[in-house]
Amino acid sequence: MENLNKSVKTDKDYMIKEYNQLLQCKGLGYYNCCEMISIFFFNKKEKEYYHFFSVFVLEDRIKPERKAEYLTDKFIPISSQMDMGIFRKVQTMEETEKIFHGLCQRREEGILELGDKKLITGSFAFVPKVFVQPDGIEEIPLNKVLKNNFQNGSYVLEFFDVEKKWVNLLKKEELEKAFLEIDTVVPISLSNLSDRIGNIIFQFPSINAWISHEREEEESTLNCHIQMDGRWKEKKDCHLIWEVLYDKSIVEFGISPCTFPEAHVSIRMGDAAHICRMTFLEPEKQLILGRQEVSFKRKVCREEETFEECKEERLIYDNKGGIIDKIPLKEGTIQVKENPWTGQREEFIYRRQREVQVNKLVHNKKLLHYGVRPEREKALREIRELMELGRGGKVYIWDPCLCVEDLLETWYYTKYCDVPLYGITSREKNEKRKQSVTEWIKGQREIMDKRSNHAGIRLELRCQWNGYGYPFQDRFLMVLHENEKPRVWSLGTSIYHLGKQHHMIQEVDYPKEVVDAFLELWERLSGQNCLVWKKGD
Amino acid sequence: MEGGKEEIWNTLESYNILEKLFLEEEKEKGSRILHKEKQKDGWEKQYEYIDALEKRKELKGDENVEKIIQDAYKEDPLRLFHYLADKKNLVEYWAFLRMFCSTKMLCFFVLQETEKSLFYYECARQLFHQYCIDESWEETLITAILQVAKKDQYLWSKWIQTYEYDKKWEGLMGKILEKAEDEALITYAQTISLDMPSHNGELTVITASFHQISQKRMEYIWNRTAKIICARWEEILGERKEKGWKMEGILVSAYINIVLYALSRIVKEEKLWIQNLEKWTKILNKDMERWFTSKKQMSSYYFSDLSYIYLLLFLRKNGRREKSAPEVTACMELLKTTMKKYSNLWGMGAEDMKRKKELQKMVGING
Repeated sequence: MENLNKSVKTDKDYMIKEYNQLLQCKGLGYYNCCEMISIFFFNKKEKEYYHFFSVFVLEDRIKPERKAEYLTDKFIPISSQMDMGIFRKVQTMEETEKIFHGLCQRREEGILELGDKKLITGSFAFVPKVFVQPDGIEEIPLNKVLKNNFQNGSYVLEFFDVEKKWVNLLKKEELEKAFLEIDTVVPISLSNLSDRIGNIIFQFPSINAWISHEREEEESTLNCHIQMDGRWKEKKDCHLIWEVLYDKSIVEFGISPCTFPEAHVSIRMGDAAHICRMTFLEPEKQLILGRQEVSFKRKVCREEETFEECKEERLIYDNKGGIIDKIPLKEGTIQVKENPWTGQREEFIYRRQREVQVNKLVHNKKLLHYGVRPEREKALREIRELMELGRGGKVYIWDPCLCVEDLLETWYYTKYCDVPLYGITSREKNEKRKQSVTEWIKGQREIMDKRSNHAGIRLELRCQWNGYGYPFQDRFLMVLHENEKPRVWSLGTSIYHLGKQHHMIQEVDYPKEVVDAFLELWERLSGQNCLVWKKGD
Repeated sequence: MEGGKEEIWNTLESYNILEKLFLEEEKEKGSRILHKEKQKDGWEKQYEYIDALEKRKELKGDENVEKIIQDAYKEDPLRLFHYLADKKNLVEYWAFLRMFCSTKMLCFFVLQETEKSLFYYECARQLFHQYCIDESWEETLITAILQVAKKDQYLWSKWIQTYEYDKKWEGLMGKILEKAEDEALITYAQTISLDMPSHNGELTVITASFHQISQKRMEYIWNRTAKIICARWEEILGERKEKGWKMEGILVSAYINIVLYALSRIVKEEKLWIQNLEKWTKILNKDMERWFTSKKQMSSYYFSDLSYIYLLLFLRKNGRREKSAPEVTACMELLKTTMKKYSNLWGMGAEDMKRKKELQKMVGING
């Protein structure tokens, strides 16, 4: 670290030079103001303020208004000793430059003046400019703390706190509480980026390049359109570089000069590509003005999933009829599709990729472990993901405690239409309960009648009870596709208790036997007295 | 003979239809449901129960009772009407009407007078379920629904909520609005799901219903409902922003033409139109300065604001003078820049691309 600090690249002059370079590059933006968000802590005992995190976002606003405010009415108590405050200010470029220069000059001073407060900081190491692209195929960690980095990407200059001393005053739970509180006020998520605690980031978003693209129907070509902000009159050469990727290899590559006011570049995708990665840059300044990734659904497979968005949404209501969620739906099928111009190798490569992907997914879901702390939301999310593996096939659930409320929390959040779900529950030993089985079934139907519009649902729930079928304690989730081996997970607990207590979800090694047993019991419960609820065929 | 006639009524009086509906195990529950007061949610609970009963395929009326009802109708239809309308609860209405009353009888009942709006509702509901387009008794059905709309605004709003997605309703809607009273018109405007998705992208179905209404009547309706509809549209757009619902283009619902008609009334004067355009352009710019949690949230703010602006520009295209005020020119320049800047937020669907090109043309973006 000391060597790094002493290197030519990271001294204060270099930082200031980079700052100026980014400002002067009008291809990035005509910045006329800066929005600062600063998070700090107040030590009530010591009466001191500590710097937690700040981001300065350079912007181009129509009417920049200088404004300073705290984003909460009062400081947020985090511990008995510490309160947290979040401060926001829209300031001029001159004020911003002054702060930047001040940080460069006094990076080891340990004090940062922001507004009317003096914040204690650690020593800063300089981090020269870094280009942060928007999330694409992968999530980019730094985007969790940058503002709206969804379009072209941003340059950042960072002051990295290499001491983070005072943070030790907070316990782990207090820190987590702080992260949660910050997230409710402003979408800065430090919980997965704790290395940035104490840091100060200057964000230079690329906002002057307007890049859009459209694909032809056969997806053989991607047409890219680039316009620059009307104020940008420089006769500079810009270039678009693209890489077209398939199966982790580069199948097409190109570089095209861009002439303005509007540049059009046609990128040949070849017969098999899936991702096109484009970088738009200004070579003279050696700066990236934009970077985007576009993925393709290529109609090359012998088996193609054609799921499109439904016009209708599935609605889930609370007990008073208020809408608590709207689930966008997809409908379609897995069907045979052939694209006459695509390469013959595609089919084999696709099958292998799909197998690897599914195996990876399955592998990741082979063992799901829920621990001592309640993890209900995580468990629900994961069980829904497992259920969605049934798209194009069907799903069975076997759970003696299963009820329609469980389905409303799990199955009703899956987004693929018309996937049949068959469930078996049980009211064995019902004499111990207050309701008769018939009353319970009626109650279940009443709930279903008012809790959703059931868009895209195909579902049948049957109940094993006294004299019908046989009692069981199994809890399984099964996913079946024609001509494929079924996948079965033992849930370890009922759907109701998923994530609420310690259990494990494990994929079973002999799925066919479980499926056969389910179907055998299913047949025994075919009478009307066992039907709890049904929708669709 | 007289004794024979009275015997019909005596038999009816002594007949407890509810006992026939409930299985042994359900009696207690059924009884509880029946004894719900006619509160706001009292009959709603009963409708939940009715829906459950209607799903039972084996539900069938006693043939002897059916004969008695038919005889009673022949004997004195008005007396039968009162007998049924005076029943204490919805489940009994439903049971008699559903199992024993023909379409002809229902048509007779809805033309009679009673204060029991729930009885009209159930008659209308039964008729509607049997209705096919251009049915010979369509006018009677319309009368039934109008009775509900006249007597009970809550029931009328429930009707709208239940059936506005129904294709059969679309064919009747215009005819009902032609004759509905003021209060019913306001309830209609307050109730319809303005963001209802259109079927297969068709926007003309609802419009076709409105073409059933005379021009003069349309003016009358808009005068009473335009403000309500516009205010609700703004609320819907606000809700989409707040909840961050996914949007890849402007919101064009099945009712969009109604919103457009309503808005055209509100911004009839040039000055008001300009004020609205300035206001919403400012809102759009302010919103795009926010911190967003995701691109999805950014899109929902962007397209919610743009959806309103689209309607304003649509009105401009279809009736404005070409010469623009300086404020309008400034707004258009701003919109041009904003649309170019956020061009890549648009979805790739055919509908979204169509609207994008339309909007680009409106603000003066070529290509």
